[in-house]
Amino acid sequence: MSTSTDHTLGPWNRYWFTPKSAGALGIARIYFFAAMSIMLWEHNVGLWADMTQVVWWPIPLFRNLGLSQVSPDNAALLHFAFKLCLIFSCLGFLTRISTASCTLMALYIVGLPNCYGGKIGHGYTLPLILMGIFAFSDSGAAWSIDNLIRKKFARDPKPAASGRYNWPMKLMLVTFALVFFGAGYSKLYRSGLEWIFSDNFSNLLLMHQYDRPVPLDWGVWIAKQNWLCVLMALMAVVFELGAPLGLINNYLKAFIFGSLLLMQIGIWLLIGVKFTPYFFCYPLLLPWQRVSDFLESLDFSWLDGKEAR
Amino acid sequence: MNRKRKKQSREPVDNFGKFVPNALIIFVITIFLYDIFFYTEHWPFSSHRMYSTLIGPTHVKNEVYMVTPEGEIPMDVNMHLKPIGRSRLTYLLKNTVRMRDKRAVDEVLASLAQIYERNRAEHDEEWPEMIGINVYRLQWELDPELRNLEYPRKTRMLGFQFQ
Repeated sequence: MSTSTDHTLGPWNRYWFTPKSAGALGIARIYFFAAMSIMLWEHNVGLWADMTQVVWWPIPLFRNLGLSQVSPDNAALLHFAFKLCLIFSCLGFLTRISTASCTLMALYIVGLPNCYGGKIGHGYTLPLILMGIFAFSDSGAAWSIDNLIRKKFARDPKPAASGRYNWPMKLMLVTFALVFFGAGYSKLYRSGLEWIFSDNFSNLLLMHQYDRPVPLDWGVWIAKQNWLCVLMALMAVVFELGAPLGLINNYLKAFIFGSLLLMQIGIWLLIGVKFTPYFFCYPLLLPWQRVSDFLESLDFSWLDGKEAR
Repeated sequence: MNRKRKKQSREPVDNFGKFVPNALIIFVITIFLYDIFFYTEHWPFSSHRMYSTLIGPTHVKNEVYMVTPEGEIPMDVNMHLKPIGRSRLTYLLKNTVRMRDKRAVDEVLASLAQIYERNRAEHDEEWPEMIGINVYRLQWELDPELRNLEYPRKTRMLGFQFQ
């Protein structure tokens, strides 16, 4: 590559490929797949086998790949294999294969219900994309059984800091930012400023009181305070549209994504819509590098039965 | 446990090693931006448009009731019709009605009954026997005091009696 290209791509390469230790990605992998195990453990597509094929309207991914409903027996097998891959991915055993298999199976398991009846769910899309990023990354280089096995054969098993451990964490952050930016943009695109300055937000709060019991009944009071509804709607759109600013530095990241987390907790408390998959994903934005640095500064040689020097 | 700091070596990524990550990064960003600005959906990528339309002063929802030998009772969809869930059921019913095909409607309701029976069997048949399903459309004018919460305008949308 020429020097001028190097110069042009400098900021891009610095952003994505600044060398980082493998530890942060490894610990994030352990957390993420443990969280996914909790969240997706009971997802058995065999339960859909009783649904009539009259309402089988496959989403493009399923239609293009020719995927269909599996029989209950095959679903049980798939469910077992998926759980095994989740455990292997968490422990970092055959990490590349297990994370990739996990992603493919999760796409099927989470995607299948979207093929019945015409409702496309978006609750699990963020974790699915993040899982895909893990599948493409070298997340088993540290804090993994793979690494313990390598230890047996290599003199210095600790992988060198590299850009290959940096881009996955950055891409996860970008994915978060794009998800929220999309949500903010579509509000303004579809409804304009009316989304903020009309009765819309007040109606949104009230509507859910008719749908189901909500954790807090404050929504009824807030719906009557017009100024507060406008302020809350404005803040929601501003923080969603401003999510890409969280890519600039760690302070903005903490402020913007912390605010978005609080917003989603507020949505759950006020209208009962729970963003559980998102709540499981937010911890990926924590500074895992510091956790990793701390853990790596500890001497674990006692595990091998050797004296620390 | 002793603390020990080691200086870590650095290994730059060569251009070949950057190819796949770069391709993935560009793919993810492009497809997201495409969906956002062209308002399309390439599941699992999406423009995340939930709650982006304006909500008016009228609220409508579908409610599923099971007909038992003792009478009609509302269903706890998330439990009784697992794995369908409430919001998915609403779409399922709306789209089935739009098909204007009596046979399709009957097949969907029969499927729901089959799913209920399977879930009921798992609960040692503590749940009531279901001899039919009715689907109602409930409509409210939103009231800030929720005075009409218990009094929706109720219209029967679909009905199915088992043989």
